[in-house]
Amino acid sequence: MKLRHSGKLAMVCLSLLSLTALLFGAASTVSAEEVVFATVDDLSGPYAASGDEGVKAVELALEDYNYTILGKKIRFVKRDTQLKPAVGVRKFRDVVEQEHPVFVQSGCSSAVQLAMQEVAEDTKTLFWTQGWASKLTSAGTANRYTFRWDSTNYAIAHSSVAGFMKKLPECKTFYCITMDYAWGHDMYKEVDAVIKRLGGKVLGNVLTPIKETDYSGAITKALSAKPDVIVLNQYGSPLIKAARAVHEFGAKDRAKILIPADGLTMLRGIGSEALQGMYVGTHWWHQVDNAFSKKLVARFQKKYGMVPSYYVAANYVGALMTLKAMERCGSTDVEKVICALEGYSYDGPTGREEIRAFDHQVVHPFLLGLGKKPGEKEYDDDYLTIIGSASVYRTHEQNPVVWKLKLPCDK
Amino acid sequence: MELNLMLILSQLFNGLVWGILLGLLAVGLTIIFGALDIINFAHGVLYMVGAYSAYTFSLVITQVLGTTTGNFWIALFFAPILVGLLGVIVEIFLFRPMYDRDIIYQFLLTFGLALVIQELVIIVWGSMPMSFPTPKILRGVVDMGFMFYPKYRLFLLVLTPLIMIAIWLFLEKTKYGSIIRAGTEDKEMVTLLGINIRRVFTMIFSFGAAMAGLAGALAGPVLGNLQPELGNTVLLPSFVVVVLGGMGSFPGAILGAILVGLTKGITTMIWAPASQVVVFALMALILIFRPQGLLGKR
Repeated sequence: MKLRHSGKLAMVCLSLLSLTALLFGAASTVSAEEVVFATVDDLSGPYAASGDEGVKAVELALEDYNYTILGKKIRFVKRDTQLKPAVGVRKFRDVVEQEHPVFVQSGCSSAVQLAMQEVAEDTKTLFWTQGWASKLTSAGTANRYTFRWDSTNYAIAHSSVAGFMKKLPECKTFYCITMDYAWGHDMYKEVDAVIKRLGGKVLGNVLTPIKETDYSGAITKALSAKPDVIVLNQYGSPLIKAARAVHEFGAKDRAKILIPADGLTMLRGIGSEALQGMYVGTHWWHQVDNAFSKKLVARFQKKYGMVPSYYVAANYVGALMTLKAMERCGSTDVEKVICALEGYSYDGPTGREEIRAFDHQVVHPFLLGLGKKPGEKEYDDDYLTIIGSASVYRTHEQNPVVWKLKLPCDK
Repeated sequence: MELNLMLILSQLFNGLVWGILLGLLAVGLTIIFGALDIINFAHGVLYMVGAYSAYTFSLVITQVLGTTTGNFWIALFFAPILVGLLGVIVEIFLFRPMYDRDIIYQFLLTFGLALVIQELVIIVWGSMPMSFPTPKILRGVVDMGFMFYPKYRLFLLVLTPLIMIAIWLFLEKTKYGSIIRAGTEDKEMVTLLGINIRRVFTMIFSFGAAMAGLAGALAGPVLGNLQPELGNTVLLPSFVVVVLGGMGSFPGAILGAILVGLTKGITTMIWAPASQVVVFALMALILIFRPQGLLGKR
């Protein structure tokens, strides 16, 4: 008898306990006084410096809002992907499940980002992605929760290669040195299409392994075909090695050199000695003459003592536009924020920019620069003279994105 | 057809340059293995430290002397010494307690050491790629009639074989050299002859480390830029060279290096994506017919 009583008591206690837990749990989600912004990027290992720039950029945007949005405190959390695909996806999932962030930023390798993007859709998390994975806003992979500022490879080829061919119409024959990696293959495809469309000829393409340390063979092979232009479809540390080797082999004296996509971090590795006279495409350049860029550069330099790269601009825009969207829709609810982001246009780092509603790609000009001679430089990071820009993206017909999860916005 | 001949020749040159740099690394690796029975996974990072310290030495020398002339050469002299000293410290404090233990301890030790040194390099120099300048008089290309070739690489093709001959003379003709050779062949006998084997081990490891440092410093201008993952990129190929040439064999290391370099050069010309795999295929092929390596003893 006694046993049965104590059993009952225990049951009552348990149900009371779970009830309070439920109530408190519900209460804490309803009246949460804080929202979480997160970075999941390479914060240790060889690309730590780039991940660190992403963190700094998000911090700068949060500082603009004093770490407060719509009366709620903003907490900023960081997770390290350690440059490992498995770790990256796990960290992304962990941060989403534990912290319920309203914004996640990342910029690591294509494979990792594709996996992260799926998690973002599963968990309905707003995901801003930059860097390698240019296909994340293409039909087939794009989803409603993913946004991207960095230009697509299509846009890169159409502005740097086409811009180059317009500036130097006497250059007709091209030879590509392409990294043997998803991004390289995709870049080559776009570059090849643009060259052919504009009446040029691609004499050949040599694929180099992603961990190649010696580009001498590829360069010799390219030079022996006697092209007018050598195109380096390389990115990251392979690009630095390839560009340095091009210089070492005196290839600049026998052909023009075109690097479709580059950025300040990589330019520092290449150095002006090698870079002078090369044609270089870039998402953004810190000398761009507009109010947004000037303010960003000044603030970044004051706070961190260094010139911001395009990766800073990209991630700063992502965080800032999310905050602005929250303000506009008066909510931190992801669905509402997405609706507020879609179709929004603003004066950004490259001028007038628009967040396209149908694929969530930010449309903005991509720049073409020419490497300065070491003697012409006014300061260390003064690597380029900007000589052109273009904004050519796939249209809705060319990029027929269909959302798997369709939650139409009331406009 | 003339065009193709030019391509083949320059590819052979490219392969040789890569091969001889790898050879310098492999020589150190093989001597250390022969004497200490240690498979040194930290050899790649020693090469990296050589390159980074040569870079810093030349910067410091430039500031002290106020001129950039000659800084590279002074750095080329001091960088291997620094890495050699690092080798002395590592051998005395880390390796000595490990000689009597199971091979797995030594494996873990050198592997861990490689990670620690790599992180230290990131702390000291940062993880951003740094651009390594070519010494002034060796900049530019030479028109060799049949092809254009960078001056610095031609210089390497002359200097590195001279260094290898010097090492060989040192090992064959000097007293210390014969002690090192004895150490790699019969440790017990060396001890019985009244030679302090501990000191010999320190000397051998430090010598091997200095060779790795020298290879790093020499490779700097060829690599063009320095990155913390530099050590990993050369570790595996230099192991291949050692295994292929015969573990513990000095001439084997050199022969293996040249073979690996040339194979890679030719493959790059035919189908570049395979150029890294082919090196391992070559190793597998040779091991099938000569399990002890080309010049290895059974």
